[in-house]
Amino acid sequence: MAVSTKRRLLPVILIANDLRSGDVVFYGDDGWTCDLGRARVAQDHGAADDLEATGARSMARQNVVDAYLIEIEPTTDGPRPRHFRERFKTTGPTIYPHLGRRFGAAQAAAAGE
Amino acid sequence: MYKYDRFDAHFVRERVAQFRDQVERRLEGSLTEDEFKPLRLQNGLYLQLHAYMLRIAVPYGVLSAVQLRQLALIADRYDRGYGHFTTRQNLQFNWPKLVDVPEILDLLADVDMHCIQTSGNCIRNVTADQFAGVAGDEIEDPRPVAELIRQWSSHHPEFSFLPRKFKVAVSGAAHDRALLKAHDLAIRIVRNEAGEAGYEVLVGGGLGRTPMIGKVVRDFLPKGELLPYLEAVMRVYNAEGRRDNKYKARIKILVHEIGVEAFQARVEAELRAIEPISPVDETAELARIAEAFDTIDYARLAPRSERFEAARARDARFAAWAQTSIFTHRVDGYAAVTVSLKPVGGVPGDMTSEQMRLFADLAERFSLGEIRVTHAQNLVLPHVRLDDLHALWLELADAELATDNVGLITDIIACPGLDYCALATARSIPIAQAISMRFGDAVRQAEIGPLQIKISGCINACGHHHVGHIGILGLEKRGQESYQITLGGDATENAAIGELLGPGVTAQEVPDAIERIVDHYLARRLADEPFIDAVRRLGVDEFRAAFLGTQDEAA
Amino acid sequence: MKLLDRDGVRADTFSRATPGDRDLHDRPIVPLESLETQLSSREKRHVGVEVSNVASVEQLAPHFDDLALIAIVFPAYSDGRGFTLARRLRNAGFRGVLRAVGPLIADQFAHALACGFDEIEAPDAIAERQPYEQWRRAGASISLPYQQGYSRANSIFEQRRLARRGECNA
Repeated sequence: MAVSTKRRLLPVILIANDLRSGDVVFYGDDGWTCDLGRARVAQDHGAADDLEATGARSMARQNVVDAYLIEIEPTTDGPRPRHFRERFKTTGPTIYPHLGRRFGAAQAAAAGE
Repeated sequence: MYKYDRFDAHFVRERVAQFRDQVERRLEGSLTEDEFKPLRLQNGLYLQLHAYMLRIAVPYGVLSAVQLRQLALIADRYDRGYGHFTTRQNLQFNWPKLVDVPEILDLLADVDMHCIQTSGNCIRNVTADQFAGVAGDEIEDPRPVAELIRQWSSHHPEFSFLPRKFKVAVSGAAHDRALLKAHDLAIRIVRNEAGEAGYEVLVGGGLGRTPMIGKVVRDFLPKGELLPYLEAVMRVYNAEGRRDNKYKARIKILVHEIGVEAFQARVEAELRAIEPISPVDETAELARIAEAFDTIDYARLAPRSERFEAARARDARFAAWAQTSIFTHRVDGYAAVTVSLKPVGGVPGDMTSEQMRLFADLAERFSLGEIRVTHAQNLVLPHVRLDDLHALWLELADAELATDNVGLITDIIACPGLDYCALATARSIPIAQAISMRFGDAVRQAEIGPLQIKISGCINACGHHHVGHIGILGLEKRGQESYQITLGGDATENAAIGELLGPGVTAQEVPDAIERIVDHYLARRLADEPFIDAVRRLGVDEFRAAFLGTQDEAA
Repeated sequence: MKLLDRDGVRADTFSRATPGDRDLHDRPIVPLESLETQLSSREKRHVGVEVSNVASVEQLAPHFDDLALIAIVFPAYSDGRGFTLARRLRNAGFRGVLRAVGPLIADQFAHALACGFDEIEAPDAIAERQPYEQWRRAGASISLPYQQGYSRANSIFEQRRLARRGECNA
């Protein structure tokens, strides 16, 4: 698809769910990560297309499911999704803040011990 | 309760092994995600926003203490320590890993449970009146027929790839507590003029994008002829239901487009083409299943309990709870107790594993080990002695399970919404919480009286907003969550779809809007006139003015 | 396309004939439109017809005795109309070969067989990704189904009926 026809607003990042665990993951410089702060930010359409192609390849290889680009705005705390749906997706249920990303991180830490 | 015989048990184990194999083939690439998705959905496994979600079938809402304890174990071992009861009497876990699901299914099979057909374009888990076998207004216990349908529809070779999902509900009572008219197919046990029990069959109800009330397609189907009739209905739907548009694929659209008479004619023609006699000896099967439900050995008790009356007179809080929570049991000296899963400001339908274990203990001590799940996301202890009610209440209060709001304005139905659901367009739960906080005062709730608020986070209407006295639908409007409010819906035998009051409001504006509607009701009601009756008498327009007044003030 | 049945992957003895096709096919599969012409012009016993999943029993029933095979097309694996058509054809008395054509997957093998299909003509991509062993395993995954009258296998309801009869006799 020609870049000029894209209606996406830059910059974007690539989001997906891990196939085996279902966890929300982002595509970063070292591959998929649970850390939104390490998501690779595509500033131009070429980079966004590359990310999109990476998502398709990753889905074909049974690594992730439901990979797609989301529009973000850079903040001092890292990328912030523009749409409220994607903000909830990256932070966890708003009703149970303790079950969001921090729960996943705590679990990972516990597993590492 | 129904106990699996060796065939049921063998079937469920084979189904677990089948899914384990499917997961392995998905992971190694034999199955693509597109191929795997319908398979996992037919086993209750969704991919939601943050994680997979596993929906466990609680067939016709009947659950044992042993089963609930097993659910608690799964919640702790494979999830995050809590579960969510749904409007279809199921239980959802929000955080399972795909690779753990086969293990979870084995744990469920250990206690005669499964996730079969809790999702997907197939015949879904059958729901029923939560007071089945308990209610005094019942012609017959609907659970045997619900169980028969569960078995008949399980892994059906012909009807597993339907145009869309197919939901069945069953009731044997005069009053509809199972939302029969909002189901794709509903069965009501009725008597004919000769006094024989049989089935009234309704088809084509449903909520979602195009809400419709089910229509009677057979006013009396003799017992013993149910399965061929269902087969004929399903065959007509499978062949002719629309597949060009997901939003027009439910049977309600087919029935609406060709008309009830034409639909009936097609079903009757289909019936003539198949064996008119059920290949299954339904009478013997129903009798076999019914035996399992008839094992309860009730004590001979007086209809009135002095102990209960004394406690009620002594303790006003207990009396208030008893007022909303107790349902008359058909057996003297017993009551069915609805336990609210709607603590003020809490998440409707959520239960922690700790509460599950405690509740299982209470079910064993006070309710012959039996529990029911209601479509309103509450639980029922169906067989409590009147003498024990006060002791039960004290225990429930210790577990923060004694909220006295059943049927009241804070007993809100809410789907998971955008806090969990990948399909949602807005959040539901925080709206329920905000309304609950606003109206949480016990005296105020009691003064308002019966009022059902139902909230859905998208047009699919899992939160039944169309049939709420006040319905709330969360949508996206210009990049923000926006809520449409409807009035006058009814989920009983007088089923009605609510009318839209006006343009959407923001999340912050919802409690004020609801308060305006309620205040208008309080100002205009006759003596003991319930909310829904007042709405019918006064008309929606009058309330619309009150609702729009709120908006003007906010502007 | 690969042809699979209860016994494994096998060679297709039929071949597609298109209208105006001058080649003589030993065992042709023709579209429904040209069925009448085909049946009037050749040895009848080896003619097959391919129909969409919205074909009616009425269109086909007059030719049941002349048809060796009916192939029903599945446009997508999620489209279950073909199962109902197969079932209707069997109910109406068709005794020839029933073939499912299209992107069915191994996990539907049991459904197809139970509804009356004898064989599946699956796209190469699926047949390669899902070797026959997977079809065999998936086809046998539920050894005793509930539904009575759907497959050659016994049903749970029937087993219970036999058990009841045994108890009565005992």
